[in-house]
Amino acid sequence: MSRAAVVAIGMALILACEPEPDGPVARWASTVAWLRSSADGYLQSGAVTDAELELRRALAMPMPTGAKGEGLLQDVDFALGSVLLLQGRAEEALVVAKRGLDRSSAPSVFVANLHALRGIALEARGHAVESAEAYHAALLIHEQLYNDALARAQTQESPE
Amino acid sequence: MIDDPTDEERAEAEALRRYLDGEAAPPSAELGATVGLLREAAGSGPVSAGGPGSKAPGPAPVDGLREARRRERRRTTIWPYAAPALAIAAMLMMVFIPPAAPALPAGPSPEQLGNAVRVMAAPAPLPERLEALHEVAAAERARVVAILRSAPTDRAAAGLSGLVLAEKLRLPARATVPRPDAGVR
Repeated sequence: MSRAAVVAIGMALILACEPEPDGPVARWASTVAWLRSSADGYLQSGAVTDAELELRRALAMPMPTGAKGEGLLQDVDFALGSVLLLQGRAEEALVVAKRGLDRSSAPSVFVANLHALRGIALEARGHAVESAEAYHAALLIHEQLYNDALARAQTQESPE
Repeated sequence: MIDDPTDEERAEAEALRRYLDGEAAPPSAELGATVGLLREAAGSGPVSAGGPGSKAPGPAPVDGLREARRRERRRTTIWPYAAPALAIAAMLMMVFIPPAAPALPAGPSPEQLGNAVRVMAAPAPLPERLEALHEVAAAERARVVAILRSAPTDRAAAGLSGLVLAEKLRLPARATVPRPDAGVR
């Protein structure tokens, strides 16, 4: 039995043991997260094509109305772009990164990662200036999130 | 099956019978006060019917005394009402007080974010850069999924259960779910 099959069976068992979430939004989020994790499992076992397929299936899941799950989809976009980059398909990764950034521009980890992904893809395509701009956008968000997290941690340590 | 009366109960019943039959004065204020209850327990027949030496049918004075004492105890204790009240209160609490919500994951730590910034700023190889970004994304994803999973229940609008089952069982979803970018390029 291949490692990919073992990973898939393990993930299915873990999900089967989890209690069924209640609403459509919860179910959608759980399924997308599971497919995302499944893709990670495939990636670790070297099954890049299967990982790509899982991520495309996650993106094909219809998001329930009002779910506000753009961040989750942006994360899947980032993962798909990473897979494409690892396969040397930088042009496609660029398209995926742009699609993810079009979903929402609110500063978040996912948006920062998409900027970084875009920067890597542009770098691979030889667009140095645009690549640097994309990296800069990613760095600005990551830096801001880093400062916020640091401030939060310090507040929790000294509540007075 | 009624237990045999104790000596004390026999003495009380006999004293009461003698009083009620007009053979003696009220033996005590306490016994005199139970006469009303005794009449109620014994009905409209002779109060002392069924007692020692009586040939009339009916409840014995000892039974009447016991019934009177039972009623007295019932009046002075809240136990018969406390048990159902507690049960109802517990049921109401279960219905109206929601269970404590699990704590949400904290998201990426300052160390993870700092590492992402460091790796992005350095000329690190592609897999290393992606790994740092994936690590941050995983922490944030756990937080976002927990938020989405705690969305309010809407069973009426639920329409994904079959799809989730298909995903779980790995049914031919690969063939039926279209590629999202099919026909785009």
